[in-house]
Amino acid sequence: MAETPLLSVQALYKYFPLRRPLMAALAGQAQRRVQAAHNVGFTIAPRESFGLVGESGCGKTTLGRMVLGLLPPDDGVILFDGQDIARLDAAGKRALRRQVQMVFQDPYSSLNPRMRIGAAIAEPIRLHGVVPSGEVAEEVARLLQRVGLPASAGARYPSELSGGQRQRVGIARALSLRPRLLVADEAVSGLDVSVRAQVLNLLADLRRDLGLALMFISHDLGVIEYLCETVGVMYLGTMVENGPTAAVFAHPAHPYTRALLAAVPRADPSAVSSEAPLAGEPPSAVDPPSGCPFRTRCPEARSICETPPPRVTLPGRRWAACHFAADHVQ
Amino acid sequence: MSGALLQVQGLGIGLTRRGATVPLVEDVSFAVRQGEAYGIVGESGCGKSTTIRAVIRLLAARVRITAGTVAFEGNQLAQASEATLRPIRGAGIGMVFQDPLTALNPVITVGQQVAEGLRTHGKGGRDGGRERTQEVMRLVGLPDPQRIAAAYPHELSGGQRQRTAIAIALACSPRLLLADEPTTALDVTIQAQILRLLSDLRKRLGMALILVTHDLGVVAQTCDRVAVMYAGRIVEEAPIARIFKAPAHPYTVALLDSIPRGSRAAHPLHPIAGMPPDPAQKPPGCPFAPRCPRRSTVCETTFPSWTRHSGGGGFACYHPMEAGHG
Repeated sequence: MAETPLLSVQALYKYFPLRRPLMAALAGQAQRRVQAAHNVGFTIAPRESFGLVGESGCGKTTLGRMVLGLLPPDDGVILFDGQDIARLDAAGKRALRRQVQMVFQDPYSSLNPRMRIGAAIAEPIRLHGVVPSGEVAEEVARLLQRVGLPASAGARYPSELSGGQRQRVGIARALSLRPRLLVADEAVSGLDVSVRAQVLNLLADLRRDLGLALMFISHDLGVIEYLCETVGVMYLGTMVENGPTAAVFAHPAHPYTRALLAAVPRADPSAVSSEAPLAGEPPSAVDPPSGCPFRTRCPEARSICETPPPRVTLPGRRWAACHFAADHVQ
Repeated sequence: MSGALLQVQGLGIGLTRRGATVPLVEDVSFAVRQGEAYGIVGESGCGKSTTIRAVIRLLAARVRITAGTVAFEGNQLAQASEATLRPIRGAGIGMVFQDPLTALNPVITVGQQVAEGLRTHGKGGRDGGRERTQEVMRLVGLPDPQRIAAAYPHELSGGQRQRTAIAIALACSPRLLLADEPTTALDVTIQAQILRLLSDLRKRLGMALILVTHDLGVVAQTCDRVAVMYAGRIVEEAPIARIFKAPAHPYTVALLDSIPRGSRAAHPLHPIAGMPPDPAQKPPGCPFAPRCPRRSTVCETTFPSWTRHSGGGGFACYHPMEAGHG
């Protein structure tokens, strides 16, 4: 993409140290660490919707938190609009918070149960002085309407709303600061299918109308395919494949992406898979396999996979971290 | 239906609250044949879990069966005493829950928990069930059963825990397995393994399965027939192919239309507005009427009677879709 990326993540590393028993420390045993991000890099263009997909423990939430500036990386650079977010001063950080906002999975735990919805949405508007104080009420009403809630919802408490309505409140709150990037972590995972479809359409409409970029973190491949133009697939703290969603899903280049897509139960009884599902479970992120992290489960693994896989560039602005990526796409 | 393994007829379940009874499930009837996989699908609060819990009478304290019958191999269970139920639970009907970590006892080894049911039903044999325990643990694909039998639930992964829960449910060779969202808490590659395991076991052991889920994809890959529930009622039942190819009830259509099947540009979703009603404030007539694009005045006053599909199953709707939708 010729355009300067809105977000650029470069060679990001993050490890979480495990608690070490005192005796182990005295005995000089090495500190054990959970690998949450290992040399992760990707970009998001302005107005782009980027999906981050992977199974539990693959590091996708940690990556989202680092992008939000909630968690410092051990190494690597995160550029937002060309600026290194680790080197911002207090004013710069404040400005960043306005431009990068988040929506969480469970809005019930991220909303103050004793604060009315209207006040909860007004709070960030006041703190950041988004509009003059005389216009805050009007702005709240406009946001409620924008996310498809009646104006009367402003006087309610979170407990009086349904899950879908609370998620709309979470979105309204994130939008209140007029961000340029919205990071949504499993934002529709707790919702029932009919309500989930409503919120997905809302997010897609908002992105189009407001020119937002979206980093959509989810374990649900169908939802990613619906909403995201580009996708990054994570496994054990590494990104194994990245590219336009349509191309990646139609012709996955990494064996893990293929396994993930094959595992999704399709809502079509005539397409019952006879293929054997991917065996085994992801290995521990504490001692990830050397070389390719997927090689312990990969049906195509060979001895070369014990060496770290190269990032193979593929046609159509794609890449995959697999020794054999080029064999699968052409 | 004669020859059914399980026959549920006119089942009503209510929650007692402040002296009043809130209906959670109303007039639910279905039958499951020997060896069949029957799916019950619906959104949260539709009564699908409550319905299968009622089958083996595992209802919460203030929830009780208010109407109807449940017959398993000719035994009436709806009003049966605990003494009558005991030999049926586990030995006749097994159950697997959504979250194996809460279903398993954290302070007892996995092997003891599998053996416990065997001994309770007098099937432990001379070795206290050790041999059979290892056999069912191998059957559910647990690697190295000897080591895992000695482990505690927290030492296992999510997938291994669910396999353990299935081993416990299968230990006494039940003829019917009830599975309540058995893969919802699992990652998608592990879900595929567990669904495959349930299908294989059902075929090998000739056991019937009732699978409760919110995921139509899971139903499509696993079940022979399916019931769609909405606000405490079965609104449609059909063989699996028909539900996906020619759904009759507008709610079934709405559910199918809510599943993403590609990018928004290629396959836009047109979800129905609104949400299911609160059980305490259910509208008279068809509970789906307020959200239904095909409703008429009669829908708002009287619940529609059951219309049979020609190929089995049926639906409760005055204005069904014409054949060939979607």
